Amino acid sequence: MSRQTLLIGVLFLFSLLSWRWFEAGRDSGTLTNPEEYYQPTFTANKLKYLNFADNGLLRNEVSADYTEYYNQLEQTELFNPVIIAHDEQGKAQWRISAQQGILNLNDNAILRDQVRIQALTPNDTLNWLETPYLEMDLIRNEVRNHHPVTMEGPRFHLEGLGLRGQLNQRIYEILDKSHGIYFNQP
Amino acid sequence: KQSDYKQKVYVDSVRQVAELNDNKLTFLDDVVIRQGTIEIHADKVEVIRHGDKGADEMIATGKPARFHQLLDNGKPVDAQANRLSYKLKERMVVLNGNARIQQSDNEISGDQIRYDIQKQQMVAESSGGSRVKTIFLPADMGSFDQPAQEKP
Repeated sequence: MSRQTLLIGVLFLFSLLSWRWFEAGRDSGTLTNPEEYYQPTFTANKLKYLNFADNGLLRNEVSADYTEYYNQLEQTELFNPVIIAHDEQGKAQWRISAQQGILNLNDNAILRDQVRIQALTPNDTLNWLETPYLEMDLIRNEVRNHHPVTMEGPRFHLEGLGLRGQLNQRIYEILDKSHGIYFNQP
Repeated sequence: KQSDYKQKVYVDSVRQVAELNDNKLTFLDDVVIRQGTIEIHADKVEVIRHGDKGADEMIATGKPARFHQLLDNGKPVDAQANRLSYKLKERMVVLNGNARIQQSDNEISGDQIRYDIQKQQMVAESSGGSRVKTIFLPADMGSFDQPAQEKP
């Protein structure tokens, strides 16, 4: 077996292997066009998504200027999302806004960049809460994160790290490094 | 000091909980409260608003909860108890459980002590078998503002 024959054999084997590898890649879909994979299944402007509780009352409303839905990822990207959280009597109680958001199929929202929770009831004990990142359970109307948080009310200014909140019961807990200023009216 | 009461109250702690429906803020773990020269150290502090325009009350609990303040005459007052309630508007501190107040070297202890910061008056009470104990140093007999019924 001369050197030439050997070379041809190696070349043949190499091309067979790369053809097999290329075929395998196409079957498993991993090598499909990545661009196609990230294309939204559909897009929408001024989307509004209403979430009702079992008693038929409105639990929360999710709206966004522009929305992209990705079927493969089972998620919806929201641009300038606004969530209005209602209390158990169906009354609008909190307005939660951000620059970016993601809505997952199991009714979990992730909000990013200038996230702000604004009280909708006048003269409330808490006026607003701000943080760069927030996760929200749209079924239980609960929020949580492990990021810096600032809260302000007529009588206090509170800061800390990490938040856990129950919007309906109107309870907010700052988890660590909390610092508060309490405006005392002598 | 008189200027203490016009100042904001600064609160540092590990955690805090705002219960808006109950108008209550709770600060937990290694809580330090500062208002002018007033300083309170406790494990837990609840800030409660009584009524709409009502006074705010700070209830500090600890093992013990401690209160410190410099008086206008520069002398420190230090108090401690299992439970210490500071009523901001009334400028009243109520100490409950192993209560003790020290000013200079004078000391009062009992089950409950009501300390009116403004008037610099103290009323100490005891329950059950224990008695109120008051220690005066001769040098300070005159300068210590003594409620009428508390004759040593």
